[in-house]
Amino acid sequence: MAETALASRPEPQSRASHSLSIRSLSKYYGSLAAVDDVSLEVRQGRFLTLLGPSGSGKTTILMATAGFVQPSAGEILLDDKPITNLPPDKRNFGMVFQGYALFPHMSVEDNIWFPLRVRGVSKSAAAKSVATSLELVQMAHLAKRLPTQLSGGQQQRVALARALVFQPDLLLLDEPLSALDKKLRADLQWELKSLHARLGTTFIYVTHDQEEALSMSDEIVILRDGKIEQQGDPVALYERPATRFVADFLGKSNFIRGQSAGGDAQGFRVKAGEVTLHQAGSQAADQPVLIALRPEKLSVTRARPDLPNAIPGRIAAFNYYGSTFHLQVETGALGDLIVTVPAWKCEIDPAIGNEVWLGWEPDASVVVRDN
Amino acid sequence: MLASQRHTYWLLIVPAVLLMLVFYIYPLIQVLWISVTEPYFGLQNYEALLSRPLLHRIWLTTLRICAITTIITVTLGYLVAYAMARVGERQRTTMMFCILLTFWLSVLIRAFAWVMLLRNGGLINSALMGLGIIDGDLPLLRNEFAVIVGMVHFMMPLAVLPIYSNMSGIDGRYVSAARGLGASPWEAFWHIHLPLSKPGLIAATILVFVFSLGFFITPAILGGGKVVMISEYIQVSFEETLRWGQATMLASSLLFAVLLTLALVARFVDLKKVFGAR
Amino acid sequence: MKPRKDLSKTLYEKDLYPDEQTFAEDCALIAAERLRRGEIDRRSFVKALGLLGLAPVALKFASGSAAAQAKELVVVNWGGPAMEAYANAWGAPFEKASGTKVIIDGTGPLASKIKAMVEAKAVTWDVCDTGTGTTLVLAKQDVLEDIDYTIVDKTKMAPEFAYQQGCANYMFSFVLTYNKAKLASAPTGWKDFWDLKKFPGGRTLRKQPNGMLEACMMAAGRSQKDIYPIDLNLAMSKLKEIKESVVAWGSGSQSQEVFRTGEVVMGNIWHTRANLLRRDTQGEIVWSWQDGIVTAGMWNVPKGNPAGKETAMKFIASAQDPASQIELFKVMGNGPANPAAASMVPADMRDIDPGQPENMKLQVLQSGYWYEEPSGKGKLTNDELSREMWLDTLSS
Repeated sequence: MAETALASRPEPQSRASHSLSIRSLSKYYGSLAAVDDVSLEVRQGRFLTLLGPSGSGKTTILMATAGFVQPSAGEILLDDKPITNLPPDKRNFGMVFQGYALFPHMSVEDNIWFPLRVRGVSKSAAAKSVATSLELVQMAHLAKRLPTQLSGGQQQRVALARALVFQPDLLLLDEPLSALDKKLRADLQWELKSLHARLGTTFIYVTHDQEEALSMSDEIVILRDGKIEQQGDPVALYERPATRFVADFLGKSNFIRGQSAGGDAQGFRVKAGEVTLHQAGSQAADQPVLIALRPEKLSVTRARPDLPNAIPGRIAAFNYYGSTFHLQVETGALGDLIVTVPAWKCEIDPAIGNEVWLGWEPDASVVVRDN
Repeated sequence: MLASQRHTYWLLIVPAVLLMLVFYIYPLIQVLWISVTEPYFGLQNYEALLSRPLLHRIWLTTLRICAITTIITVTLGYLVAYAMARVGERQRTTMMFCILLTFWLSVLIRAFAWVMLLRNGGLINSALMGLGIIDGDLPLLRNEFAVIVGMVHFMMPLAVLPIYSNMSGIDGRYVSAARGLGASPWEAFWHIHLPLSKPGLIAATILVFVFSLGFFITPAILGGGKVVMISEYIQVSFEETLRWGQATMLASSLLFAVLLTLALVARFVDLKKVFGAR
Repeated sequence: MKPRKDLSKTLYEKDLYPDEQTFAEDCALIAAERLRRGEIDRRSFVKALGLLGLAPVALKFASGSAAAQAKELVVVNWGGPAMEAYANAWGAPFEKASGTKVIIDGTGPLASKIKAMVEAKAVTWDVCDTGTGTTLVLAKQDVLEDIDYTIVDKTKMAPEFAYQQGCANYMFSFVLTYNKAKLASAPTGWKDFWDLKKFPGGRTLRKQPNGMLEACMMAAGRSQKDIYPIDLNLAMSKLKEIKESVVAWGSGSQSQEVFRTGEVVMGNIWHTRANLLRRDTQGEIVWSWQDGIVTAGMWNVPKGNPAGKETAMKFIASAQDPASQIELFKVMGNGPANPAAASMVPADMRDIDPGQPENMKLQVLQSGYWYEEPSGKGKLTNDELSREMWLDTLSS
């Protein structure tokens, strides 16, 4: 369902959008591989996010794309033209750094003017572009201020304006929202997305925050230890994680180990201790199986639900998040399961010690590779 | 701040102020007083500054040598500090050690070391002749050239340290951002790095220039008696010819020159920031 | 400023003040031995305060007690071995004869110090070993006692050096010194010194004109008799002629050093330093008495000296004894000031005694009178004007 909603998103008008090709990119520091044989295609106009924990190589890939890191192996092509050995100032990419790196001795205006200035744009033409850019990020009224006189959110906007004013082929963003507080981050995520839609420029975004990745990206590439773990659009990755790592990194998951035990009408059976579970899909018998189950896909009821998978348990702990409860339920056979339920008109009474029933559909859970 | 707190702070400062008044301000006033009373009351000593060509020459020599020394030292110091800010930890420590080492050597030893290097038949001349670059000895010693070499060598730490201290605080991402936005290495340096290193540059320039004004031993030895700077003449006037009016007048003029320099610089730069206030 | 008592330290500390060193101070450095002389507590107290720059105040403290002790005489020279030498040659005999204790102070009687002391009315020095230049400068400042020639015998010194406020204590000369090894032939006089073509190489002259002007005159063609009155403009033009090749020396050791490094092949330097050079280079560097300029070190008595004028004059008179002067000559190399001592100099040392008749014959006796005379330019004496013009020309 979610997939169809996303598929109907209109294609952005491509004004200055190009496609990037990363082929077998590797970067070694001594014997440590920061990036290990990564290949990636970024289609023009896409908003692609490199997501991963620290040390996964995402920033290295971005820096190699920008030209600040020389790859040990592999190449990078822009519209099929190799750019691997071009210095950063010749690549015509916009960059927004962590910490924004706004030039402290220049005003907002002059900061935004800078890339035009080094491209030899005439003062009058530049003035127009700068004004347009300022409008784009709603900072026109602060044009003469110095960066130290701006708030975090304002600085980020100026950084964006500066990176976009010269209509770059690509916009590279390195965790630009990590320094902001939660509410501001949420607001700016909306803004970034709308900017992308308006401009059609290809965005490559690096973050460790999976919520950001899910909310803004057309495509997410999950990286781990220098290699691509899985890539795809946000829904696909969230709904069908391929590995335990992805299931755990993107959102939260419960994990249930078991042994496959033959097929049935809904898919196949899984024996987990004393419990028999029903899982969609197919699997040869007598295989070890790891099931990932998202907390929000479990139903919590007082009485046994009429679902193929149902298990009783006792509430061991709970957290209240305003809109939801997060319950930790001791099930005995399947261990402790985390469940998320909407708080409004909640059927059960969330209190420690209460007996509840958990249930889910066979297609609510996913088989993942254990790693 | 409470009034009582303020009083406490003033009380803490009072001993230092008193010390300054007695041992610094009072003798300074004495010097100024002597300059207008010896040999008789009046401004004749200052008038001599305007009328006597010898004093003009000495002042001009001093200013010229100090200006040249400052420019060369600050430029070289900038290059050294730039390198120091970019190399690895180990090399930086070695470089810092080399810079400070010259600080700890006596100025006399250094001056004589330069005598040995620069003289006819010394290391530099022999090397150049050995390489066939020159036929006869170059007159590198006992002239203004030698004085400037000696002074630049002495002043280097004074230039390197403030510039380096400023540079090491400049975030490298500014230059990277500039490069990413399309600036060539030179443009990134000129538009971004250089303006950000200005406070260090200003501090170094002031330090080196003001120090050079009072320089005495190095010019006396390396100049062969022919490069007379103000401090040397003050010493001669004071100890030898006993023209105390002239000596104090020259000393006062030095003081005024320094104050003037600072005033000029203050027009362009927030001096408080340069000297460390936040 | 450390008291100049340790030789090892002074050799280079001397060069901290390359501009101003009198011959007296320099002699202290030449002898090889290091000696120390004990100091009275009052003295070290005064000195310590002096080091802090509170000299006038310190002297005030000291003078109270100083005035009370008339049984003590302080003789000031430039320290080092000169202290023991003076004590043995002059201090001990005077003590025995008069009962007044003689203390040798090695701090160095700079003109500025003497003036400061007298003006602050806190004089702690009785007899100072200075030179003709300093005497002339101080005379104008009215800080010295007149020499009492009823006590001091004028005939026991060359008459030219019986100044009004100073008198000769020993003799020394400015001589033409040259590096035999680097010259094709030996120079015969100051004209050759000025001949850069025939005798190529560097020259060294003193930073002060005293002793140099006379050489300039002789180079310009004046005979020894016609040197005075010195034509300053002529002297300066002579200096200008060779200025490019000149390295100026301020201290005795500097004058030696520029020969050693090979920077100069000829110089107008003190005979004592020339003697050292001759010894150190085994005769490669030599000097000649011909056309040398012989002059004298001076005794000065600051006005208001603690032991009183009479005692000071008595000491000076006792230092005129020929035997005592010979004793000093043997240790320090200063020529005896008393003409009667010339015949008592041992034969093997006669060639380094400027006062020997055969050496005196060849030299020019420096005229203090000329230096004292008004120059006509403003209120400056010849001494003052020549200093200015010399420095001006050197540095232009």
